[in-house]
Amino acid sequence: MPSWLLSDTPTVVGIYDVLAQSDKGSTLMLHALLSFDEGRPAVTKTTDVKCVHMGPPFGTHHYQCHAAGSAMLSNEERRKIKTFVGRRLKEREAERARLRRAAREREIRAEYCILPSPQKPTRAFPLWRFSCVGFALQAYRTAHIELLGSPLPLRTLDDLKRFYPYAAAKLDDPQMRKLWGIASGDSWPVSLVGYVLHSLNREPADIRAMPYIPQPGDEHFPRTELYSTR
Amino acid sequence: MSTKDTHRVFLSHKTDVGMRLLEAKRVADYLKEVHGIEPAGDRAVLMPAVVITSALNVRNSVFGPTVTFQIDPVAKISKCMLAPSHQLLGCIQTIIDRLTTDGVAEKTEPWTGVSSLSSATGEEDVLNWIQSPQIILQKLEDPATTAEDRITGVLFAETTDFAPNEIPRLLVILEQFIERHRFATDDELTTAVGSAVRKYAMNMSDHHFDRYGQWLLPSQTDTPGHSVELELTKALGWRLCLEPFSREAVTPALLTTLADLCSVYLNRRLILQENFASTTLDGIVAVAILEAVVCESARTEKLCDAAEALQMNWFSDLLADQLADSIEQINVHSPEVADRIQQHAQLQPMKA
Repeated sequence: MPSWLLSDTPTVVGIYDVLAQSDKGSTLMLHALLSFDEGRPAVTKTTDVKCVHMGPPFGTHHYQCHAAGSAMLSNEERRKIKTFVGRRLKEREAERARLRRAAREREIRAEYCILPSPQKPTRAFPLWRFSCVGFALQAYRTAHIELLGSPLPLRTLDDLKRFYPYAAAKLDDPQMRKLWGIASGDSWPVSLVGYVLHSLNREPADIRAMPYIPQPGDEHFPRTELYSTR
Repeated sequence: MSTKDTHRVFLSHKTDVGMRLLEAKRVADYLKEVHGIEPAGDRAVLMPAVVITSALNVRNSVFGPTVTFQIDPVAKISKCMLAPSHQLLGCIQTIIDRLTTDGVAEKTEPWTGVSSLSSATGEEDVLNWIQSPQIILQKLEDPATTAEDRITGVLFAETTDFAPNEIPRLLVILEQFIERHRFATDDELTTAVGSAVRKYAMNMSDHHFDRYGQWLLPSQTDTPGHSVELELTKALGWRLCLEPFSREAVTPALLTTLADLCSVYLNRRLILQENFASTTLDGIVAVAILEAVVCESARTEKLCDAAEALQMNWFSDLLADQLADSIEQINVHSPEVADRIQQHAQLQPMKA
């Protein structure tokens, strides 16, 4: 089943299907989420869909989304993803409790990482860290669905500021860039939301047979003619 | 700036309404998530968040950083949210600080004054003492520390980087906390126990493993909740895969406890409930690794056979994947152990 833009016409979204939010309703996709509604809701672009995602903070929320993609998950694949998500929930509760106690001092993006994503627990920070896309990719990996292959297009700091408009100022902070894994170098193979939609925009058998190799411009969904390939 | 001015400027900026609504939703989620403030109704959540966000934009882009938020909009927001004005006002200030600066708080020097420990009662103190590993330790070691502060200290200890010479003190504190609260049913306490468990597991020495295993055991009257069981087995799995340990860590009691736990849940009806599948997966992997270290395999084989007998493909797949992942990770620091796990677990099918 292809990926699609949500419109005023309701379409069914299954639990753990990928949802995306765009930049002001444009084709540039900024944020990835997983549907977390067991009820297979009919969704429009104005529906508040229950989602699980790496915000940050990681958690479950209701959001309006602009695009969706489905791998037509089987019950067994959903069960595997459910196991993966369930493992994260107590970790999420702890981070939420920290934020509740000291929101002004707590860096909300501490559990977030851009590269690599995901990152394994360490002695100092014994929690998994993800980007929004990394969380979705890891969830699908649990179900043996590898959505993206390599190489990924390299992205500059200016590119990242476009893809992370809410964190653009933070991206100039060397401390934050170190925390997010993009401290050194001048371009990085970052997994982007649009790539995931393009990966899902294939036949279900193809999705499972081979990962999608993203091209420059795939950050848009659908690809835009206005994009000039570098 | 009057309320009318606020609205006028907001309207003059409405070209960016799409983005603003998206921001507003995030702010509304933030209010609910972090401050526990619920909207009065589904749609009501948007209006106050839009007002808050527009106030931010007004403050930043038009009038500069000296304009303070007006009380009148707060009163209006308060009517739409199930929260009193004074609570909302505090939240809004927090949001403004977070969203409009590069972190005033982050630039503040960590508070290191030990002498203020005993007076740590206000919000400002909470905001400060959680930033220092030394103060967290002192606070948690102080018998006079309140239960609430103890929970706060444990939560923040999880994500604090302690120096190697501080770890033994930290482990003693976490041990006491886990032993006191591992049967808790209260969400806040079980969340803090989870934090303590994860931090403890990743930092414990070989001689701590046996004690760690005992936390999975029920008492005569209580048993650890399923979320505590999950964190105990999961964090042990992380530790075994990601950090080296010696055969001194492996005791018969630990192996028996883990194997017994998994055996109970390897039941077609139970495995589909709560997080028992995750607990069991982590437990089996832990048994496989620990047995491989001491060149044993009986428990691993029995558990793998029982898992196969469930005839649940998704569970068998997850088990095979998790064992394969653990082999890959252990191979980094203990290749001979990785080889033995591979042989004992007789992995089928193997992950590519």
